[in-house]
Amino acid sequence: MNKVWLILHKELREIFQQRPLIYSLCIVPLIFVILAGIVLYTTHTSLLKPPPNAQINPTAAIETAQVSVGNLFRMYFLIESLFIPAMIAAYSIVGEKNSHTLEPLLATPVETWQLLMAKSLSAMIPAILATWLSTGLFIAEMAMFTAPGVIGQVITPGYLVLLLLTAPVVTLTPVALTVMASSRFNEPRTAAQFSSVIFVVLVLVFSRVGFGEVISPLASLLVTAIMAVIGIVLFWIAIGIFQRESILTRWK
Amino acid sequence: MNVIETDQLTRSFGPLIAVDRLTLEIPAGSVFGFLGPNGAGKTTTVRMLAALIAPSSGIATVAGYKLGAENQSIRRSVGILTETPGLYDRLSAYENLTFFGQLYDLDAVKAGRQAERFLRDLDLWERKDEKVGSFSKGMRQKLAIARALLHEPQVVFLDEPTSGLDPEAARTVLNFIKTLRSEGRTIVLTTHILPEADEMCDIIGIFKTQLIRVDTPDRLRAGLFGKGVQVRLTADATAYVDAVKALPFVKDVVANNSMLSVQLDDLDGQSPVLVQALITAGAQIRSVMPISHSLEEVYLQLVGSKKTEEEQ
Repeated sequence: MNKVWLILHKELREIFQQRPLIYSLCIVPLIFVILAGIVLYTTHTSLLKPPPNAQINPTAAIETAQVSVGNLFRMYFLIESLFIPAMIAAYSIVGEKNSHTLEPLLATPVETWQLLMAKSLSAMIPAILATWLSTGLFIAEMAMFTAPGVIGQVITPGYLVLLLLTAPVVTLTPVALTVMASSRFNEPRTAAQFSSVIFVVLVLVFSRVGFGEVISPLASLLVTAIMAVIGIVLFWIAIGIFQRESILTRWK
Repeated sequence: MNVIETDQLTRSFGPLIAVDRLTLEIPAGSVFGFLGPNGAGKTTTVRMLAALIAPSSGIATVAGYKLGAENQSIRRSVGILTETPGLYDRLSAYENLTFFGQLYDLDAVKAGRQAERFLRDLDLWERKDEKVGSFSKGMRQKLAIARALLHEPQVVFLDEPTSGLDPEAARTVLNFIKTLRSEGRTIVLTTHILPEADEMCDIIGIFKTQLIRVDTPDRLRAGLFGKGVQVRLTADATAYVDAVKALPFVKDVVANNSMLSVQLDDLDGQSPVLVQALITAGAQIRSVMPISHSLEEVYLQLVGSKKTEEEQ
């Protein structure tokens, strides 16, 4: 495991020193946080100054709107955990190849699983941190700009399980697919895009959250367990098919 | 004792045979020079012997370990300088070395000590904390050589170690390789710079997909061009050809103006007799020099004849 931590430490140092990569990782979560803030703030001001002579109860309508907005954005924040790790994992292997560092690295007595686990963790950790940080800001916005009781309908125990357990587990799947693709395809961009096929499936799962479906903590745990099994199986397949030499000899 | 042995080692990429039935023995402590044109399979051979890629067929042992079955042990026992240095530009020189040192199973303290040792040996210690991205090509190459040696490998593969370096940097690298040789390490050197190979290598393997010839540089010369001496006289040499031909050990003699080129088997034993015979015949001798052929002549002769064979 020492070598895993050693490579992980090096990877994270390199990732955090690359401003373009960091900017591209931060931009989408930041846009979601800003958009959610603007929308929630707008509804909040309507809540403070309800229109005169309204035919319906304006407070109830605005609260309903805020719950809908909250449900939509909470889904976006979960989806972040899918695309960020794929971007980093693609860079992580492809970047080594492009800078010609992969050959000396593969010449060392490092096991394939150690190398891939370190690279996978280095893709997953920033993604999880970005997801948690941006969702934390979103929850703060909810607390500041929504009517009492709204936050409890959006940030449910089931959602918190999805955020704190499922999202980290889900990051393993796109990473494993990117690793698989990296050793099979000649073109690095193809490798990165290959993992996006999993988005379709996982977005369908997360979209139920967006439609406001109340997901119980138990159901969330079940989803987590299923995703963990899928992720681990894919990861071990990725290790099995990761061909050191095809990366060295086929990629130009 | 041989530190590398291969038997019918072959590697193909689809229909292309990059290395064809290579059978080779490299003695421990020698500097082995792999010479051959571009695409001859030198890098593929080095990659196979460093357990980076698998052979298609054939067997090999490196440092006593079987290729394929004991790849991790081979990786621990060899150091490799790849075609391009392949260093992490965002890490410092010291961080690059300690990172790789630990990957080669050194603990952090030992990795640090080894990094310091090689950075000092290669005159990079003053810049140990600078990011490698700011280093010149020569500095990067030296650092990559240091990386290959951190774990004190038995065998060091150096793939074109002076390629693209200025003469001063190339000389530093060559002197360092000589130091390694004096430490008794086995070095496998691939290069296109033939005078460099002549200077550094104990054994030369000339290679073009197949091994064409392997021997010491001197024996390669003697095998192709024979041994002999050039005798410069004060007068026309033609007059002395018969006197030289009369000597029983002379294999051939050619006169060119004042120069006699004489082929002999034993330079040390037969040259004094030749000189004595010329003086007896009345010749006045200005100089006597062994006939010297460059490694480039040997290489061109062997690779050229291989090319002709292939064309036929």
